[in-house]
Amino acid sequence: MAYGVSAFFGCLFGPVASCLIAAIGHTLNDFIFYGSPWWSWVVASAVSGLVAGFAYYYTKLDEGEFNKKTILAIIVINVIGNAIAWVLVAPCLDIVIYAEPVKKVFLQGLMSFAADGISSIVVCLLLTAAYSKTRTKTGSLDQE
Amino acid sequence: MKIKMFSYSQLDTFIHRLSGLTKLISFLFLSFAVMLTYDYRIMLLTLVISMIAFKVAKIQLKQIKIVLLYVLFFLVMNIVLTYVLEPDFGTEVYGTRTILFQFNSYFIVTKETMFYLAVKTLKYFSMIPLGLIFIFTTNPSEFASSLNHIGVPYKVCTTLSLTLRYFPDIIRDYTNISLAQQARGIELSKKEKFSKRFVMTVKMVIPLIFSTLDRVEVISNAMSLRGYGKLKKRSWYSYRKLQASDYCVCLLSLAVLVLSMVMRFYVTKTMFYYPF
Repeated sequence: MAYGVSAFFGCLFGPVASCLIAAIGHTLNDFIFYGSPWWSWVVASAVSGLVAGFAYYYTKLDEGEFNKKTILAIIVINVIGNAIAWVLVAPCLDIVIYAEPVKKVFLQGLMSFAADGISSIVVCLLLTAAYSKTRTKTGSLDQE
Repeated sequence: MKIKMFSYSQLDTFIHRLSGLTKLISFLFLSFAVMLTYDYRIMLLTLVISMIAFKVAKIQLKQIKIVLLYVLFFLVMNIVLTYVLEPDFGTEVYGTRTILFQFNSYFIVTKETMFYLAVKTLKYFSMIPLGLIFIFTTNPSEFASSLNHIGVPYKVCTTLSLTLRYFPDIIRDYTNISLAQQARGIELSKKEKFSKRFVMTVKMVIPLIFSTLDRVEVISNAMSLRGYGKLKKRSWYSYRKLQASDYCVCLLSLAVLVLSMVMRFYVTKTMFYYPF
């Protein structure tokens, strides 16, 4: 769920913002719920936020544009971002930093890829759809 | 939603008096010391240090009960997962195999794996108190200033302190929205089906996001009106000058980190120390 929100802010403000949102959010969340951040996953979150933010360049949410192209861009970018983050970055860092068992980290990675990928796409689409409705479309006025 | 965020309480203990920078540095050093090794002696040392710090900082057990429960849940899941996927992982890291007993040819119980899992549990438990002490004893605005002093760009630090500053506001907004919905007769308690409650919660997030976006606009306008981000450096209200005790604590934690590295790279020469 949280990843959807960071992906949404990425669509609005660009990759740097969503990268920071994801990294800070994950660190604070870890501090509160586990006491100590699990750094490899914080990095992975940051990567997923960063990639999701590139949707900013392919969508025009500010102008109220929400069509098939927007949906496609969000889905593709989120799938790529989550795949890189959870199937590649998180397990590899887990192995390098924490020396966790290989099979376990990749299974965990795949599980979180599925869960976070789906939830971030669904939440992000819901939010962007709602947001674009509040914006006036460019060229929506006609001369009579 | 009654999450007690960052239950920082203003006490006057030795730990509270240390500068936020010292606490951040010690937290990072000690957690890296534990992160880099599977040597239970280093972990015990860190655990003892953090237990003493807990006592000194007067942190109550009931403050951290929820965190401990979460950690326990996460830990049990992790251990089960590790065991089910790699019941023979101990042999892989320690190089020997002493079978205690076996259920079948796959699920064997070896002394090495049990030792590995025990060390792993210890590892988690020695890492967690460090972060807790840090957040329970550091003033949130000092947190940002100390991050800036270890070299994090100040814009990132401001973002972080804004997050901390506005978190209670957002929680309040959420409570307001939820109460407003409930006043209109929407059931959000446990009487309603879980799936429906979930959908309602997602729907409540939408107005929350919009009120947040409004706030983003107000704050960023206010900040640019005041010329935020024009200069390369910034000073901090909440920065405290380092005292002698700060240097001592930093040195102590650095010593633990160095000890951990020396043990790993020169004495035991392995990440996985196995005494048997």
